[in-house]
Amino acid sequence: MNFGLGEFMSNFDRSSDSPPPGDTLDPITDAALEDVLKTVPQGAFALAGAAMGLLVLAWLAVYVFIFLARGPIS
Amino acid sequence: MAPITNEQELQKTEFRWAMIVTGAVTVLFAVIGISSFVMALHPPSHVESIDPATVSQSKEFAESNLGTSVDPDGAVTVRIIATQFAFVPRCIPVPQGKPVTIRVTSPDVIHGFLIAGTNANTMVVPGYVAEVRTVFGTAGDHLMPCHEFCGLGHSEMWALVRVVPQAQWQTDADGKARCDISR
Repeated sequence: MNFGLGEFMSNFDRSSDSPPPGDTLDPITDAALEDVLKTVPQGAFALAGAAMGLLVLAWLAVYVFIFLARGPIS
Repeated sequence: MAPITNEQELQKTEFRWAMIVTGAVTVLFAVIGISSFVMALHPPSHVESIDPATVSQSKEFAESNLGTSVDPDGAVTVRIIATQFAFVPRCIPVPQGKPVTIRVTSPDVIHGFLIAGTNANTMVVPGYVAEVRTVFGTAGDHLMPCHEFCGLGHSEMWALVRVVPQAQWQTDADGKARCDISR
């Protein structure tokens, strides 16, 4: 049974040459969109870097100040 | 950082991020590996079998031999039976700052124990003797609950580990320590 999924997904394919009909009414131009997306990876880097740095530091703090401080086991 | 403008730059960015994540994971594993090697840390991995039907008749886990005993060479061993729904004995004195070997077995179902505020934590499986070696650094009473659901009375199954400072540590003539003589 064909649910028309391919046709549905193709409406989201921005790499196709012909834009989907719905986008003709979009007030945001491709150039404006690209301009905004230029800076996205820097923000992602900062956010992911800060999140991962905090996670690693928290893990090290728990390992050193709780696990190792409680004494060895074997 | 310069704006990223094309597909190749994006791929480079992703590669750099992958290297950073790989580096972070490597640091975590290195910390675990080096500290485990230097401090000889490893999970309790003792494997010793015992007949669960005759635990109380065995020489080691006979009622008179349970609890804390100090051998002539100074080694401290605690022997405990974990049974539905109590640890025997209920109060376990141990000396502060000395190596202690805890040996536990079960005659009925799977139990477990952890000692609050320490890393001592293992399962107690019928047919096997669980053994944990550790050093108690902080004097005082530590709760030791059963942490494997063992039946309707599971929540009532707990013991007390009393860590006694060296100056107050006492044993009787047989080398046995009890909570009522070491306070």
